[in-house]
Amino acid sequence: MALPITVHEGTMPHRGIRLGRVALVVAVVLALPYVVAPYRLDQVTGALILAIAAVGLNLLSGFGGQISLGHAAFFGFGAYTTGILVTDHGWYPPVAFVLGMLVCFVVGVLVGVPALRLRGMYLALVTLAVGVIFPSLVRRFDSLTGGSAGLFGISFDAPDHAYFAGRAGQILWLYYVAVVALAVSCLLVWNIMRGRTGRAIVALRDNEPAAIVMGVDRTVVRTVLFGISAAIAGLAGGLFAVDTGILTPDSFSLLFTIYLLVAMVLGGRASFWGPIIGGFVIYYLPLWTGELTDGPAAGVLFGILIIVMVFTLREGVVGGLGRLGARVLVVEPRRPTPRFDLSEAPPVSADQGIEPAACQPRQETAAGAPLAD
Amino acid sequence: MSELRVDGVSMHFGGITALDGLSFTIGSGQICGLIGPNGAGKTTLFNCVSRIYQPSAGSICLDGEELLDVPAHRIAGHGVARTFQNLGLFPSLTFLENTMAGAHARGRGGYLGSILRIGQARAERELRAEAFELLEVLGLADLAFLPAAHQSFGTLKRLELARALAARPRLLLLDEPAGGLTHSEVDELSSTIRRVRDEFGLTILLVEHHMAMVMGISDIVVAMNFGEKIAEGTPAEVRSDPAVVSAYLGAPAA
Repeated sequence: MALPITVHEGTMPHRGIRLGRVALVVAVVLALPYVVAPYRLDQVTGALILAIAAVGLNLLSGFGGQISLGHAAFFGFGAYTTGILVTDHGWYPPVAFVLGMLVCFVVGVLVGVPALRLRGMYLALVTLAVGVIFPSLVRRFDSLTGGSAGLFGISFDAPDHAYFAGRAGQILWLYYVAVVALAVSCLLVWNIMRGRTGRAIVALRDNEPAAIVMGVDRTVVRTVLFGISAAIAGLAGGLFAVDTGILTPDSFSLLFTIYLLVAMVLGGRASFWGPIIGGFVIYYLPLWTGELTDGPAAGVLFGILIIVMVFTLREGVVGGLGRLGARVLVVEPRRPTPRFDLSEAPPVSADQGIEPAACQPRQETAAGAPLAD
Repeated sequence: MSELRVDGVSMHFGGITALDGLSFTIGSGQICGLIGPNGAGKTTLFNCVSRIYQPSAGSICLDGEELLDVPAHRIAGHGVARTFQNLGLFPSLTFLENTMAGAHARGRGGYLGSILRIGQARAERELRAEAFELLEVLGLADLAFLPAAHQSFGTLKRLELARALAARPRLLLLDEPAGGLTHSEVDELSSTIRRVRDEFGLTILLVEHHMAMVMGISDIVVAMNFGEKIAEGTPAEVRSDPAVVSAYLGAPAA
């Protein structure tokens, strides 16, 4: 059979392929705990958490085109909100996650306001300030946060069920929690991006004056986008808190934000799978280089690998896979079916066929003829 | 039905008067060409109508509604659409998505509606169909699923027209539509502009340097110099107006 195979959107083969893809993801997610050892599964949970944060950053920087060097702070706000509520106030962790997300949303919107007037380097500097201030804030309010000594004993115990028994069961539980959180984050981003709001976000990124003239309210779109992006990073932070059990300010340094940015770019910015794949790459790559060599050499190898990946895959892993996939399978988009609405005006002329609904009564002016006042 | 009335519009930048009490009216369904030498204030006026500038004095009314009270991101909802000199398109969206984005002001549902997917699917489907029909009208249907980049300037200009029409405007503002086009593309665009004016019942204001185009498609022409109107009338009248001739060629020797 000649490649690429062409499939028409909405037909049975196309639906089958889409369903198959979903089934594959579900199968991998469900099978993984039975295939890998518990300590390996614990690593997967760590990668999932990084992926969630990258998904949040990608919404803002990838789709929205606004750079943020402060996402470690949002991650931290989420982590400490969850940590403090769970340890000091005995909150049920999922409720604490939601409150952490709300805190991050509010902080994100507040940071988003100056971001309206700034872009490029200047926006990077403002968000950088937020990122740099956060660890100092944690140290300053040490009665609340535990300061440099750390905040201990944060946990999200598995339900009392034989399936989640013992230490392996606890790892399995957190794995599922992280999977659900990632799914929720992706659904959030997917729903925002695939409709009217998503077009407005991309329109603002591509051509701001044109987007505004078309009716996009820049203030609302940009600030809320910042807030939602921060909230997703906060959710990742909350998971990080219950996963590691210990929070210290050093976990939320600038380096963490840089990791997220690298994850986003490596995976493929402004794509749905990009930040997830990038999150895994950025989690596992240092582990592998650490196993191959040790000491400073591992860091050098890590850096070289990233440079190589950026050069070979300009549009990220997802972009590369997409181009590869396009050689095998092409999905032909479905043309929208014409509307047969009787309330609409009949076609103007035979050669036009369908008249758009915007039509107002035809003017009597002969084309080009001057109109006297 | 849709009449644009510009009345006594003045605009000062510091000590410089860019527009000085400019007044003219575009009747319903008319195409009005705004001409004048560089620095005459054409673009300033254009930017006042499209709400990028706020004039120092005067009034700009569309069908009796004061446009100067409307912020820039609301004019689309008040029946005003515009195109840009250097293309106001979104290169990472497809032709179809660009056209759909043009209808933003008519849609409803912000973040919450999108996240919860309340009443979005149906509206999206209808908008898709409508945008596709617009692309068909402008002969762009075959490009519907391609990104709005890597196409000829003339093609992209037509897409911009489709995008502007998706807003279902009453007044269409065209900023140097012929700029950067080849000779045949200009002719093609001229007939397209006239055709959409007739089909959609639009009132059109265009700023243009390309004299042949302006004189060819305009019902009325407003000539400006130094922020003031120096002539107004049919293309033939304006072309032979002594003030216009002297503005372009200099005053005849005494």
